[in-house]
Amino acid sequence: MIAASQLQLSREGVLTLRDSHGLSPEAFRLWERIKDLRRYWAEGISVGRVAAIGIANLNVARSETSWANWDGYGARPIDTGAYEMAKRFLCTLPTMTPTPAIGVDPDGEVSMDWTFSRTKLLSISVGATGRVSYAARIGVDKVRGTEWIVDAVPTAVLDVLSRVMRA
Amino acid sequence: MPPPDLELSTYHTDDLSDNEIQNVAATHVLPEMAVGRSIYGCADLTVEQYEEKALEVDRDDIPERHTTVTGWPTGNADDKAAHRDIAIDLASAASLKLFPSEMKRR
Repeated sequence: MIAASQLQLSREGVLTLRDSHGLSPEAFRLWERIKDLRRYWAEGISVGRVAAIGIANLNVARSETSWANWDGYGARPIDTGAYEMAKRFLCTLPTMTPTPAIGVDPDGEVSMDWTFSRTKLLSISVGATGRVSYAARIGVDKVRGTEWIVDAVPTAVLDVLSRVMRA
Repeated sequence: MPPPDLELSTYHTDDLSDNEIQNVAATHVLPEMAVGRSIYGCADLTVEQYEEKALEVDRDDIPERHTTVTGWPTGNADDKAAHRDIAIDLASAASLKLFPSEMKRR
């Protein structure tokens, strides 16, 4: 028998299928339906869409924060290095990741927020050196830390995002 | 999030009506903002809510009712993450008051 639990959200937030052990015609038909469902989900979110929307929003944020004191309280302009690192971050997010809200911190770093509720959120800053500072709420758990972008989104950040999404 | 000098600018609004709060925003906050940016409302927090996060609240009255929030973590490698952590808690504790209409800096 195939159960809905065989559709799993992987650690990276990508929908995956576990192998079926069913042998009956009913099990086979159900298995095909599950594969259709996965295809339907995947077609709804094309590869690169998260990055494309994220970078478009990042460019809007840059246009509003590219000069000193853009907030009237001494904010620094968006840091060019942080902008490039944020683009790299967005381009290496798993395709099924929801698009974050993007802004600029008063120190010129790029902020990204995934807010599902007050107890289910992840907020990060991306700096020019690739430093990713993050804080999250996962139910009653408070999580925070500092990681570094080397080639892609740090695994620890993906783990936290995945936990937030599943909470 | 705090500004680069880690002195967050706020205003005491105790005993002020909604109209008076909007006047403070129009008189003291809006003129400092960049052209094209807007104020949509304010987020209310008590002094105790800041102090619960180990922040210090200093009412300097320059201009009248102006209050600076300091004491943000500094000197450690993960200060920025600590700031985000505090900012999340403050945002969660704040009550949002939207103004009847947008105030735009022209």
